[in-house]
Amino acid sequence: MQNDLSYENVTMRFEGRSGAVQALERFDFQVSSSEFLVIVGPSGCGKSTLLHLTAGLYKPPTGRILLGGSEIREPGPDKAIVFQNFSLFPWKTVHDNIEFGLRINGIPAAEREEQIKRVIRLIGLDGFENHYPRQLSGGMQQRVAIARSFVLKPRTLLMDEPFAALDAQNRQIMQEELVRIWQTQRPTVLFITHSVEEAVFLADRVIVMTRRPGRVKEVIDITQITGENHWRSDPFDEVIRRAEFQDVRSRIWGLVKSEISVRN
Amino acid sequence: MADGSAEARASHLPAEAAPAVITRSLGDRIEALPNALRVGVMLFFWLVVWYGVVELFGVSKDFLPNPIDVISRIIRLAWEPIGAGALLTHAWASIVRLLWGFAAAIAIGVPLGLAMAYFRPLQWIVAPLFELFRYIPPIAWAPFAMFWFGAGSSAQAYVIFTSSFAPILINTFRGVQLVDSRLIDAARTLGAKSWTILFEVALPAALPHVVTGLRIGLATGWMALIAAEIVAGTGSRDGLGYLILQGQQQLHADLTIGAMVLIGILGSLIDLAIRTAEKRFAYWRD
Ligand SMILES: Nc1ncnc2c1ncn2[C@@H]1O[C@H](COP(=O)(O)OP(=O)(O)O)[C@@H](O)[C@H]1O
Ligand SMILES: [Mg+2]
Repeated sequence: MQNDLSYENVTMRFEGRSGAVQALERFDFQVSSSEFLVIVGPSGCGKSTLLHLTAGLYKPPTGRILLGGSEIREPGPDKAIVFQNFSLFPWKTVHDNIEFGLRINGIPAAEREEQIKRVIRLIGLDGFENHYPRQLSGGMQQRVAIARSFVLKPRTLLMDEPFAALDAQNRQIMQEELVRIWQTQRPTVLFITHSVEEAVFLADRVIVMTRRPGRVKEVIDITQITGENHWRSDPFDEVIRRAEFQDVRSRIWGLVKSEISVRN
Repeated sequence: MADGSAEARASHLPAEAAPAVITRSLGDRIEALPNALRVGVMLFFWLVVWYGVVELFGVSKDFLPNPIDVISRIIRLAWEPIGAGALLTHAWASIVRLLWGFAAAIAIGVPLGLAMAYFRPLQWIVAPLFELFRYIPPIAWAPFAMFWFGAGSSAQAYVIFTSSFAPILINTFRGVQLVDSRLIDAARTLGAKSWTILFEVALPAALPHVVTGLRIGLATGWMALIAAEIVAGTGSRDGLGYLILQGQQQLHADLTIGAMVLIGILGSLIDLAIRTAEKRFAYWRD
């Protein structure tokens, strides 16, 4: 299945009490099928908005977003999203939160249980199946939210700062898992992060967005720099010491910083 | 500094643990008692005051009977029939009426509250009606209810309905309105359609509010019930309100006060029961 994403002149406005906010303006971009795309940019520039639009939660007033050639019209399990604030159902246990998507999409019970068991082991939460979200730390909740999306085997995996609440160790484990899942299931990944290091480490390409209204400021093709042997196949703590990695990191950081400090 | 004061407080702990060392005020002593015991002790204290005042000033029984008279009247009521039967008959009659009116209020209030939160136009259609009826006290419905249902249980249940309905409707409506829209978004992206969202997201998320509405509805219903029994109960010869009225008509102040005490006790038991239920429905909250 073709899972390429195509953004054609996408605009997004929010009408607020204190006037309208132009979140995105003429956002034009192509993401190839199964690409790992990482988005960075100053906060408030419209990154989350871009992801919500891609998930089909709302329709852009102008422009179109196409997935595999057809316009995205409504949300659905093929466009799973991990929200910045986890958005777990607080009255459901870890098990039931993960099960929800599988159940409403008609996966038979036996298969559900098997997959839930597997994904819970994957996120390292064995023994927490019957805990409620409030009984878990922020990092654990985020892992459940990730698991809830992973099990649906989506065509696009939309992740909004998914590892922000994790400590360094869990972050590294989840990064490795994400790469592994991406390599086996081959979804198109849109990944937002405020860590430039994480972006450079994971991405095929990194988009740097301008400050609001968000547009593409620059695209950095990591695969072109690394060639066949991408950084993400090596351990993170080793990769970040390489001079080449540091060069790219500081170049991207410079681009982001220029968007934060510019005033008019 | 914060550390220092914490330490200082900690070093005082042993002294506080040994009560004999410190002379405590009466207030401290009362506060230190377990909740149930404190309530019991204070209740006993007020009964003694009541008794003392009546005896000291030689108040006539017709004006204000002493607590022993009232309690023994309640005890006698357990087997001595008045009107349709003894104590249990009357208490049961009142509770059944309450439950009928309450059930009707749930059956209409909860779905309507949900629907109003779900379909915005409905909110604007219903709101004016609501504003209109808001300031009509439930008891004002009683004579009208008798046109429709005659003077009896149905009219009384209807009065309870009018008082339980509003809190149930409003709390359900607000509960659904206050559901975190991000949870609904999450459900949609997982593939949930509107019915699934209603039953698996909106309703569970709103449930604590709904149950609060039920608690308030039951309490206001109980208040309205007694008034309804006094005004609209001439057809049936049962209920706690009927006992109050009987006491008054036969000039038995002990019966009237006894029935009032029973109403208070039953009302607080009902509230306790639904509070317990409320906790169970909000198990997932902080
Ligand atoms: N639902 C909304 N209503 C009104 N304004 C919004 C809404 N969502 C986002 N915005 C505004 O749009 C802009 C972009 O927000 P967002 O996409 O969350 O930025 P980012 O994720 O890059 O930090 C911000 O100014 C934000 O306040
Ligand atoms: Mg964001």
